[in-house]
Amino acid sequence: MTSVSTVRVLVVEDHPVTRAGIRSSLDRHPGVTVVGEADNAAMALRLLDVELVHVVLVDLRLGDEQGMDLIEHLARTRPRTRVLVLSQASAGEVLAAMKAGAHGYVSKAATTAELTHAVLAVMEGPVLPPELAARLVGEFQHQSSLTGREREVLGCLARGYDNREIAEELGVAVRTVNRHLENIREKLGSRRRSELIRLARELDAAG
Amino acid sequence: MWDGRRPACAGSCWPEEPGTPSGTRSLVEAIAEVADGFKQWPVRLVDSGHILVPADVAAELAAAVNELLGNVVKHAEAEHVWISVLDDGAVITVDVRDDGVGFTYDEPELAASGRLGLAVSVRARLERLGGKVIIRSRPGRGPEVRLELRSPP
Repeated sequence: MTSVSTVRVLVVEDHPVTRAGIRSSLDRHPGVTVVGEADNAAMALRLLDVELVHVVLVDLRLGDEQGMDLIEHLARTRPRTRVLVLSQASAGEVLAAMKAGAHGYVSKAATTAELTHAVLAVMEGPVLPPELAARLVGEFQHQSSLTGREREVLGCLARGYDNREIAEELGVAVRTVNRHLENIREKLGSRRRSELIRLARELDAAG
Repeated sequence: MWDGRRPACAGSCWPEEPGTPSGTRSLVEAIAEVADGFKQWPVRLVDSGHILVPADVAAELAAAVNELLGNVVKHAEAEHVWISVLDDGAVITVDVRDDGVGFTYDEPELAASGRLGLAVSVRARLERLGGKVIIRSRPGRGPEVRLELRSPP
């Protein structure tokens, strides 16, 4: 999470056309460089061994593989690498990916500007769309693990405030908002894959 | 940016839970139905999951949201409307925001211009439920109205 001059991105996506689209979108921004592309987890890990990567953009569906496996692996072996899910997934699946260790989500329907913004933002703190933040409000409802401030931050995010607006609202620095979000993400905890898949189904069924 | 499989809910996306106790209703569903009646702008509804409340509470809150959306049509020149329905275990909050012109919230001035009626009637609805209404607005940013109610035990 240290500030870097260029954010180096690895794109893990099994569809070549989508991969090319992501690369051309991101390469337009002077602060972002796509340093590699992979269409499966093994290739992604080989590239991570040889390239300095700040952000891994990963699809939850990689052909026969699950992006979730890669996310869990990265959380265990490369905790400093930021993982941004780029997918077309349900709220339950994304929440499960966050629990497995992802730092954010951006929809495949996002515009070029939104995608670039998410890549830059995930370097500073978790990137959660309001729908997901709202689900987290429900998720943490019966747990006292969040501090009052963390609840406030989550509530603001769920109401559609961006980080700057949250900082203004709570009278704190944007950096502090990001720290709270990081703590919230950590409190989601990491669980086993089978449990995460069950959880995703339950969350989706609960509507 | 969200486009999960669940529709960004313009309408009654969720069937009534089969196990819904009689006399209760999903608050999210009641509000989604109201929002669906407004086609003037896209309404983005986010929620923390099913929130079961007594049916009369759901009806009163949905009616309050209906009034607020009606007011947006009349005054706001908005392009987007956001509604969030959250239950954090202690408080249920329903926030209605738009990206319209906004105004400086000043009760005497609003009363003089005949726009206070809305605040009074929405407030009356919430007071009947033991809740409250918080209205915030700043020029240049759309107004936000928050309806607050204690979560059912």
